Amino acid sequence: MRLLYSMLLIVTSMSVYAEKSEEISPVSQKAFSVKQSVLQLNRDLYQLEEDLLSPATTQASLFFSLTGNEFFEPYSINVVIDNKSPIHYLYTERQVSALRQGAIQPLKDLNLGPGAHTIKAVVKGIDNNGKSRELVMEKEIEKNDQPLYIELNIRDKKEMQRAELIISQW
Amino acid sequence: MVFRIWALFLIMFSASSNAQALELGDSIPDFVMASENGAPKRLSEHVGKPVMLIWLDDCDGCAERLIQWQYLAESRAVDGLVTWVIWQPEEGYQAPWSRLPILRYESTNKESWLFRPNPAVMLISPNGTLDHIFLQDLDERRSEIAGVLNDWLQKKQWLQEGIK
Repeated sequence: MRLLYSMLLIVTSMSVYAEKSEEISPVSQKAFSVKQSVLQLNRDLYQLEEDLLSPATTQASLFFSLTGNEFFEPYSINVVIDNKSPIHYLYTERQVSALRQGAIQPLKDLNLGPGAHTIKAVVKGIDNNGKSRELVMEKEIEKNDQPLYIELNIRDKKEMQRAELIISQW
Repeated sequence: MVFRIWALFLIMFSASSNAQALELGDSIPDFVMASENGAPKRLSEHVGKPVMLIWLDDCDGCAERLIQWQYLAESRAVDGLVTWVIWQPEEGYQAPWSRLPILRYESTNKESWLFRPNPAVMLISPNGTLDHIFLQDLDERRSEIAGVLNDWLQKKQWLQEGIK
């Protein structure tokens, strides 16, 4: 009999708890949906800010990488686009080591309007004989209404026993 | 007009006093500088090693002044000591020759800073804090600095404090 009473008590309490949780659930669901909309709004605002500050029509990014690199070790890079303020960066031994292992450095995010732009890059460093060398490249690039990614890449030119600087875009 | 000049003076004074605001126990701000005789150096890449910075004053090819410092630094390299000389070029100046890295301070480099007054020698513990600083008459005080450097490297005070 006692067992029957206690089971009845447990079943009743469980049903009350279930009712309560059913009562709470619409409120918590509402709170959850409000939280979700706040997060979504935050995302939209961030996207809007990104679009306003850097719309796809003017969005461009500059990257730097090394391929092979038996004949050159970069110490610094200087990039000038359309004679505007230069982008300068110094490379320590550790950074060069990372680049040699395949790292691609995001050098700078830019705002470039659609049309032709002149990019001039000068990379200073040493060659495989320890002598100071400069790799210079000037190129005209075309920006359309899509984001532009520019990669400055140093690669070995084995037949010439030296490195060369290449500018590619995609 | 006078007020504006005073405000400008105060701003310049506060900026210059900030540059000198390093005290013992302070974390040394990071920098990266081009080197006259090798790859650029970044201070934060040497966390975990004791570092000695030698800030030169007016120096036009002053290689002979660095010889004794070079010997001192090389004799302590076995303790893991990293030593850099920081040089500020002036118009027409020649960089000093040394086997130690000669870092070139350039005001256009946004990731660097110049310590004043100089000359100065800083001993920076492996956790990046300033443990000792020596100002003025450095050449005359070299043996005193060598003694402090020896004690500092032997006692490894940073190990007792714990590397943060």
